[in-house]
Amino acid sequence: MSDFSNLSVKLENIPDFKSIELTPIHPKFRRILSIRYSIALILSALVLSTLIYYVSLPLWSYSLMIFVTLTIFVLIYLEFFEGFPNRKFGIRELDIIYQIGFLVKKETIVPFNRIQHIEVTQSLLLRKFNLYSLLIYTAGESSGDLKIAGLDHHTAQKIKSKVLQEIEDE
Amino acid sequence: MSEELNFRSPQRQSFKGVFVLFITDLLKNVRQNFIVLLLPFVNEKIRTDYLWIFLLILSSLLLFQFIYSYKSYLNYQFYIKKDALCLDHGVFKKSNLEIPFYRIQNISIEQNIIQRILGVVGLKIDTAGAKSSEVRIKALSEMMANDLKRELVEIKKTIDVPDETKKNTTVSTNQGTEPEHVLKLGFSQLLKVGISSNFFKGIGIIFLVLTSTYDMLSDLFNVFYDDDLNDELYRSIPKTLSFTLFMIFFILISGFIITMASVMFKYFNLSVLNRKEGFQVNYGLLKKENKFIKTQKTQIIERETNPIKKFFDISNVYVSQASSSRVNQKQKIGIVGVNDQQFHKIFQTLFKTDIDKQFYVARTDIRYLIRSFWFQVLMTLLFGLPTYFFIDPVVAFVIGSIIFIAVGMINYLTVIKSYVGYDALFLKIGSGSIHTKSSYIPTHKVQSISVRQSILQRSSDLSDLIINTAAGSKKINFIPYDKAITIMNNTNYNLHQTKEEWM
Repeated sequence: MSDFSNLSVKLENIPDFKSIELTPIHPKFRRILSIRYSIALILSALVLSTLIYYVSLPLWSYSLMIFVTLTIFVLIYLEFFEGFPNRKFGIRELDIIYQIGFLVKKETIVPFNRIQHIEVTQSLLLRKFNLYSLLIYTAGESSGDLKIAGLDHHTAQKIKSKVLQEIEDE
Repeated sequence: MSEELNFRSPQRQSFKGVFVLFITDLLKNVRQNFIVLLLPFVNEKIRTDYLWIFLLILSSLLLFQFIYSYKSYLNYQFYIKKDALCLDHGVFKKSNLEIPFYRIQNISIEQNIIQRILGVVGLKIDTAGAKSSEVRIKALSEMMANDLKRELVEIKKTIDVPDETKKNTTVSTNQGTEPEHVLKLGFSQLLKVGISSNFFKGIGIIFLVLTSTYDMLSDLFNVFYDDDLNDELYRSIPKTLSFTLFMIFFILISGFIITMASVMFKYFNLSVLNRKEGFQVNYGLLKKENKFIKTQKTQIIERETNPIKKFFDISNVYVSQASSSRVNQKQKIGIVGVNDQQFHKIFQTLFKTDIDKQFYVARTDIRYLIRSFWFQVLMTLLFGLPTYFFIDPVVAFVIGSIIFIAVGMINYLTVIKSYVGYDALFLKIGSGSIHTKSSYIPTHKVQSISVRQSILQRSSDLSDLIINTAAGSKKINFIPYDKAITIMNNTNYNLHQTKEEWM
C-alpha cells in the first residue's frame, strides 16, 4: 500500500518530542512538597501513636503498621524529591508536553486543538508561595486530563493565553 | 399537522406513566430497603407483636409512594419551544429543563419490561458535553413517542442544514426508500452467537446462585435438624466420586445454557439499519433496545472473536461513542454475529476508510509475565489455601495446580495477544486472552497520549503506552520505550496532518 512508503519518508520529518528542551517547574514548588510531606508525616505519626496508646493489639501488628507506613513514606519521598527534577513541561507550536514522576515516570502530549478548556487555580498553600496550577481538560473521562502544578503567574498566564488563542484559531 | 401543534403546548406522558413511575420507584425502594422488609421474617418479636404496625407503615408508605408518583406524573410536562425542548418536572422542588436542539445528539426509543407490560415506550435523549447527559421521558404511547422523535429530528435537521449541505451535496436523500439492512440476525445465526459466547460468565452466575442457595439451605437445615448440613455434605460427597463429577458436569452444562439463553434473549432479532448519519441498532426480546450509532460520534471500534466464532465466521463488534463520563462495557453499543464482509461495511461507514492495511507493530514484551506472575500466585493461594485447611491437602494440591496452570496460560495468551499497531490513519490495539480483540482508533480521534515507565521497567527499557480518546483510554503494557516514543511522535504528527474533526 502507498501508506507504507509514505510513512517511511515522513519518519525523518516527524518532529521528536524528546528532542526539545523542557522547562522545569518553579523551584519554590519543592518547598510546597516538603510542607505537604511534613504534614502527612506528622499526621500519620499522631494517628499511629494514638492507636498504639489506646488500642491493645499484638506486637507484630504494630511493627507491621509502622513498617508499612515507613515504606509508604520512603516511596513518597523518592517520588517527591528524587522525582522533582523530572517535573518538566514544554510548549511546542501545536501541543504541550508534560513529564512527571520518579517511581513511575509519565510523559504526556496534549495537542492544543484537543483541549476543551483550561483552568488556572491556586490552592491555599500555593497562594502562600504565589504559585499556580494549570489544569488542562480534554474530552472524555478524566484520564486524559493534565495538571501542571507549581508555575509562576507569568508562565501560567502565558500558557493559558497561548492555548486559548490556538483554540480560537481552530 | 395537528400533531405538530400538539408539542408546542405542554404535554403529559401517557396516563400509564403513573404506573411506570410507581413500579420503577417501588422496585428501587424495595431493592434498597430489602433488609427492612425481611425484618418480620427474621425477628420473632416483630412478627408477633408489631406485625400490624409494620404492615400499617408499609401500606402508608406505599400510598405515599403512589401519590408521589401521581404528582410527579402530573408535574412532568414537556413541550417544544423555538429552539429547545423543555421539560417541567419535580414534586417538591419544581424545575424546568431546557435542552437546546443543537445539543441533542441522539434520540432513541426504548422499552423495558415494565413499559412492555403496560404497553408504553420510553424516549431517551442524549446530549453532548454536560454532566447529566441523558434525559428520559419514561412513558409515552408508541405513537406519541414516534411523533415526538420525528418532530425533534425534523427540527434538528433544519438547524443542521448549513452543515449538511456542505458535507453531503452528493449524497441524495434516500428517505422515500426503505433503509438498507447492514445486518439482520436470523435465528440460526443467533444460535451460533449463543453457542460461541464466553460461558465462563454463566458458570460464575451458577456458582453464585449455588453458594447463596447453599447458605440458605444450610440455614434451613439448621432450623429443622441439630445436625449440620456441612458435616452431612462433607461426609457424603467424597464417598461418591461420581456425584462430584456429576456436579461439575451439571455446573458446566447449566452455565453454558444460561449464557446461551441470556445472550440470545438480549440480542434477539438484532438488526442494523443504514441511516443517513450512522446506524440504527435494534435488538432484544424482553427488553427492547433501540440505539443509534452516530458516524461523527464514533471513537473506537472493537472486534472480538474466539476460535468457535472464527469457525462460524462471526464476531462481536463494539462501538464506543464520545461521552463525558467513563465508557464501560455496558455503554458500548454491541453488534453480534457480524461476518467479515459486514464488519468491513460497518467499519467503512463509520470511519470512511477501509482497514485492510499494514500496521507497524510494537508487541508487549514477554517480561510482562513477571508482573502477572504475582497475580497467578495470588489466585492459586486464594483457592488453594482454603481447600488445604478445610477439605484435604491432596485436593488442595490438585486444585492449586489446575488454577496455577490455567491462570498461567491465560497470562501467557494475554501477553501474546497484546500489541499496538500504527500507520498514518489508525492505531490498532490487540488484546484478549481466550478471545481475541482488536480495537481501532483513528489517529485524529486521539485526545492525548502518554507513556509511562516504572522504575522496574527502566532497566529493561520497557514502558506502558496510554492512548486517551473521548470514549475512554486504552493501555498497552510493556512495549519497548523507543517504540512507544515513535508511536507518540507519529500519532501526534498525523493528528495535526488531517483536517478531520474528532467529533
